[in-house]
Amino acid sequence: MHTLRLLQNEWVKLIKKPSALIMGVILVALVATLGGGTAYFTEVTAFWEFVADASTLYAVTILFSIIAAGSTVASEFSSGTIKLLLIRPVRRVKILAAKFLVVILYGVLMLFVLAGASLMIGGLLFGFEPLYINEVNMLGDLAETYLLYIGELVIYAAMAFMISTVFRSSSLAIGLSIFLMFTGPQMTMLAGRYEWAKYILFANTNLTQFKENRVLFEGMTVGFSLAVIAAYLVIFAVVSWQVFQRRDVAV
Amino acid sequence: MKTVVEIKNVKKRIGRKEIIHGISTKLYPGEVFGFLGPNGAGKTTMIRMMVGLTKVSEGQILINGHSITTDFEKAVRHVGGIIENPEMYKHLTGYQNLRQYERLFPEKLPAERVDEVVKLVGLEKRIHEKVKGYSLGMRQRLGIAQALLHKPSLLILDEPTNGLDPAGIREIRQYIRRIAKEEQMAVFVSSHLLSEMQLMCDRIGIIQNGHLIRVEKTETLVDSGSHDVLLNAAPLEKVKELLSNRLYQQVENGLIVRAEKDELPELIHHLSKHQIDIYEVTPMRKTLEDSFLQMTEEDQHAYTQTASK
Repeated sequence: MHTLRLLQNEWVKLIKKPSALIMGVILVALVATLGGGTAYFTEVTAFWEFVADASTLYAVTILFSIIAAGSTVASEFSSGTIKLLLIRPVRRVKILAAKFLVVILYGVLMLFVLAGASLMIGGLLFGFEPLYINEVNMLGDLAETYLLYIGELVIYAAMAFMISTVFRSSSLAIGLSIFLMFTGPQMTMLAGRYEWAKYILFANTNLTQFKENRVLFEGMTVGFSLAVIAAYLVIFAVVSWQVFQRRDVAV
Repeated sequence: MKTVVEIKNVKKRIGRKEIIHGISTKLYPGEVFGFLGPNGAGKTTMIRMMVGLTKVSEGQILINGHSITTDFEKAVRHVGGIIENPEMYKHLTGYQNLRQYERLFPEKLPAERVDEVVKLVGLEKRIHEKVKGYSLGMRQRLGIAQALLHKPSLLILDEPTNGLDPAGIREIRQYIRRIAKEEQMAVFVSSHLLSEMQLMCDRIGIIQNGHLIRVEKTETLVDSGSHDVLLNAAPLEKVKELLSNRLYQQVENGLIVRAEKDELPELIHHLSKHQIDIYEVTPMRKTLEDSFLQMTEEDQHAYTQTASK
């Protein structure tokens, strides 16, 4: 299957960058630091409690996904390799899609690293606990939380990917996306008194709000948020694709 | 004869500005076609259109009969090339780079093809090192390896000898000639140096300000006027006086004088008879600029007045 080989290409390019490994190491180090701090400053901490605490580090995996997404297209332009990439018998849209999928794959891998590291380090520091607490499958519950994180990760990655494709600048794409990631939710709060505020992307990105019953605007449901995210995703995808497809490559 | 490339009245507009004004030409199997022009004449734009990096505004480019615009995948399947510098993924090894390009072809290439091209360009020893550590010459060779990977029928090389040392230039030149003949490939080479082109190409097309102003067999073009000599003699004022019936232009290290080869002895006698000290008489290696002057400015006055570059 040719598509598979295109994915392999992008995966090799991404994973062989030193930064890909470094980001994984940073993630594990952060979990370890959190574990050490928790063990030192608190008297009793339960294993599952720590694992849940550590999962909030998912923001870091989103950050890393933004970095990967923001540089995958722009770096081909800045290094000039785009010229050798686009003179092959492959339609541009396929190359673009392969790039995006691999970025998501990398983000998901980072989430796995985070989950794996927090389970291991939590177990080592606080001792493992049974799978079922009060008849709740704790691992299943954790998986559900992480699944919701993936939704958030995909939309931020798509945003960085689009900015990177349109402006061919990784620093702009990464900088702007991170800025929006941190300020977007606040700005949504400011617009909170308007009815349309719930259609703002950032009102919907945090999907765990439904799991924790802390919904931002009354009447919002998971289905609604997913629909809003999907709509934005389609816009980001179409803009990236059209710009990439039509671009005259002159680097 | 079978044509590999057919360029039909191709135009390129950027915004309202037209930068390629209707270029037409054909390339045949086994020939090395030189695309000669000063920087900014439109060489790279033309090449970018031929490989589909840039859209054609008007006209058609057919490669083995397939239009690069409407039938991109089929057309580009037969093209290999280096566009400007051979930029590779520096964090990958040479081998990993070639595997990248190999995987981009929908139909699998034979497994041993990568090793074959590595051997062809003589990179066996260092192919498993990261490209970061390669010299420019090695990168250039890796660039050629990726261009030949899929046995194209058209090889496009944009300024292939840029930044190479003389030995490297010679090597590339011989290599290009050999593969064109052996593989019956059409090779399209661009350059701004006529001296380089004349050793490498069967035919040369001259492009100026987006017009293809002339396409000639190399012999024809080179013979048509290598009659300039650089004359370094003193005192300069007197030399100018003595040469007043000839075309000349003053340059930094003397005068460039137009003279036929068999006129030279007489010219030198003439000068020495008038007590001129002659330090140097060198036949000019014609640069493109000189050709242009001859081709485009036949006016004597203009020739004499035009400052050298």
